Amino acid sequence: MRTRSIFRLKAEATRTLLGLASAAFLIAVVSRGEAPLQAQNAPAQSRVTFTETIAPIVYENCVTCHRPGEAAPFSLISYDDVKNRGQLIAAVTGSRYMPPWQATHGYGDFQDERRLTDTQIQAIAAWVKNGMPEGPKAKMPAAPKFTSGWRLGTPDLVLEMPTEFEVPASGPDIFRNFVIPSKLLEDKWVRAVEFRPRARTVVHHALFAYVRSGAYASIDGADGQPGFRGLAPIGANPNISPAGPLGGWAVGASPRFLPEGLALPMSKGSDFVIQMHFHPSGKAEREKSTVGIYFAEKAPDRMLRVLQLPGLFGIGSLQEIAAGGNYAMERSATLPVDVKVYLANPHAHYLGKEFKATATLPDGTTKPLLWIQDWDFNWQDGYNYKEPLLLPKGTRIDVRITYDNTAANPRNPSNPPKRVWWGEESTDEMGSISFGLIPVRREDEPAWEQFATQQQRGTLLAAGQNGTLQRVAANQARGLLAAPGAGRGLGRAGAAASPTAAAAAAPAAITSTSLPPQVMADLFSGFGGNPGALQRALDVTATTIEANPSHAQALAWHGAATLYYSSTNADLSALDRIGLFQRATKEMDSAVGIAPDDIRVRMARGVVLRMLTPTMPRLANVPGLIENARLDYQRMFELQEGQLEKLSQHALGELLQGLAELNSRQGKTSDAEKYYGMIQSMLKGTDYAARAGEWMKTKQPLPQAQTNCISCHTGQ
Amino acid sequence: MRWERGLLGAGVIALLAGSVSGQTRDIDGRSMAPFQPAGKATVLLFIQTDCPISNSYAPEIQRICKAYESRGVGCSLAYEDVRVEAAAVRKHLKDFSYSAIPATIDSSRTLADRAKATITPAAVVVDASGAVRYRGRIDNFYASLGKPRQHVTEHDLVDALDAILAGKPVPKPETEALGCFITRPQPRNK
Repeated sequence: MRTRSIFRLKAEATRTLLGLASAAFLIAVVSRGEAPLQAQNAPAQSRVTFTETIAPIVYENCVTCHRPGEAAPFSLISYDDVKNRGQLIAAVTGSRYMPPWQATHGYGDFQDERRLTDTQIQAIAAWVKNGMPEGPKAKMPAAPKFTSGWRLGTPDLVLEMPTEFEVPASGPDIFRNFVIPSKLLEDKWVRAVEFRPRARTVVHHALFAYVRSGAYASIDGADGQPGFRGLAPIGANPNISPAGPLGGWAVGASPRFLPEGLALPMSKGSDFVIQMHFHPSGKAEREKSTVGIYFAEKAPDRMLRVLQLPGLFGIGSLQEIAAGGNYAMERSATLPVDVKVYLANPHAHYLGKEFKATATLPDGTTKPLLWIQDWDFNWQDGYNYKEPLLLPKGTRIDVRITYDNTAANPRNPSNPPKRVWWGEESTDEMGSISFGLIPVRREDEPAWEQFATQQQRGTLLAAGQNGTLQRVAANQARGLLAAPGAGRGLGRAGAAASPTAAAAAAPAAITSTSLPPQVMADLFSGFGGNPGALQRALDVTATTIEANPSHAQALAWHGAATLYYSSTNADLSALDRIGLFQRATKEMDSAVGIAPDDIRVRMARGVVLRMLTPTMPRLANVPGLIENARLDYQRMFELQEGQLEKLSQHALGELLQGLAELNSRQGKTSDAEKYYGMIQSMLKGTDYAARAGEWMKTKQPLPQAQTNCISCHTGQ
Repeated sequence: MRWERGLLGAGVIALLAGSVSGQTRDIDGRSMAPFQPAGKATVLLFIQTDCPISNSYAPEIQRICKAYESRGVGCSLAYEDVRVEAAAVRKHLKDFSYSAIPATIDSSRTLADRAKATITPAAVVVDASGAVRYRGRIDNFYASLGKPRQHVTEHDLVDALDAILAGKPVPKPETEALGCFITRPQPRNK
């Protein structure tokens, strides 16, 4: 559990990234039912009968789900079955609530479109109106045959949930993750995952992923039930490696192999994770799902690429959605190379209303991509194009997504409506369409890669500029500051996973506002390059904060350690780094607000900012951070002004040198000169005095002193 | 012939009398008189075994019945399935934890006709005088078929019961129920 705190930080800072691939791949594997029947021969409405006209419509469009043992509520196999539901069938087909299909017909040509023709709907209405005659028995079509076993044939690997999960009779929807060890002996490539839920009336959809064995062991079952809660996308957490998404399933879906021989990696020995969305049905149910996994013979030679518009689920585009208002968001991208588009996968939460995506080719012609007019969070369909769409280089894709945050929207999660921002909770919003594609020519892969990187960079920059990153970071800090138990699954259970850290921190948390000396030693040792010590300090400060959310020293030092970690760990993604940065500065600033005259609080922020600002990117508002650092040193100086001679040489040297250096970096040369002068007079013959002499020659900022804290602050 | 006709006439009269009094028998053979409340009111709940909206209301129906039991309100369930065996209804009662509420299979639609119920789930409230005071949905959880609300904003059945118990007029005596249709038995159509 070495990396617990860091893992948690990263998990919370980077959830946004995680869904990208999983959401996109969902569609690759999910597709629906049997192909709808072509328009029926226009029936003479005076004599529409079950056997001649209605049964073929129902068999082709309804019974995939409406048959015994399937998700839909009642069977529609026999004449009596259908006749008994005739009025209802006429009503729900007339309103096009059934069969369920969100995309507008004709705006994109999709596989497995579940849709009745106008003629079919009229025939049903006429049949019901005329008393639902059965018609000649001889004309009755054979009931469709359904495979009772695996639809894709015998899987290469079958995995089952180790224990049942109980879904209560009523209450809010449940998002729950279940971990199944794969026991794979070698790395594999997955072509398809077939999902077989048991409690079909309550399982609405599922996402699949693989993760490093034991990655979720500390939170799996921590709340006393199998699995762990949450709808944070699984399978792409950069701190869990290897890991990756493996598709998904929704009610009515037929399993399919990925197109064009594509396959997704799955590592040996990994854990398979299922994230399920349950709808309570009025009756308690017990779910124990089984999955069948189909492997490819060898690694595929191409990768499915994802173009998401707006990027990262709208983090850079979605602004405030006012309470009671409507909102629209638009984003465009121009393709850098010729591509083949296989699928489109829309995503928003409950306020999402309309999605529209159109491609405008270089010659000015347009191609419809996807249009959903009344988005329903509960039907998270993926849309696979019947034929891959060829879009040439220079094609512009426009995406527009609208939101309804009025009280009149029955799906509004807040009553009365609340102001909504971008975020991952179901009461926040997101919005994007992910297009799954591949560059037509293999040699265009690097160009695509470069384009995708630019897109992501632009999205993050926009998210930093529009304040979303800061808001997300502030929310994460609030989550951190919340008492244990109020936290979200990962954080809460993560703390429980490290009993030694909790025990170590307990005395400090309860009895003192000062951290144990060992924590300080660990922190400085960590700054000096000892990752184990840094981790220990992170663990103890995090646990201290959970026990005492306004522990200023713990906040300050946790923030400082987090900032150091985020600035020096080369493995972090850009989003990780920014998220951690935002959170760390927030923690340190809160600490200074709580205890402005605590030297150790000031020291934490001042030292880490002074140390890291020279290498920070523009986005970080470096001048503001340098000013904060100078204020911290200034305050430390004032608090000790009357007793400077009592300080150790090291303490005095670091204090005066920091103050001098920061003033010099701000161009306050006369102040810098004052403190460098104090060093020269108070610390004669030391390295500090020598450095001060160096500065006096040019009165320009010196290259940073190479302090190696580890030599003095020895951790264990 | 006269004798036969006389018997038929008596049967019709008996049927009419039963219909008028609303007397029926529950699934265990005990007599049930939902239109003649023993207490202050009866809630007659029309449900089906395989209607998902009806089923999803099971916990809420039980909650309401339990909450108002001590205030003199009784509840009765009327199953409006087409062709359903008593065994299937018993299983449904058990699966959905309905055991505390008396239930009848209304295969002739006598109760539904008398209460003018056309949808499951629907609630009909009869007061102590035998008058129907409320007919319609339990609450507005469903905005339309397939469109559940995140927040119920109108609790019509509870509001009606509160009004009746307080001796006040029911604010909305009739609301539109959403769910599955109650179909009347009809001969096979060729």
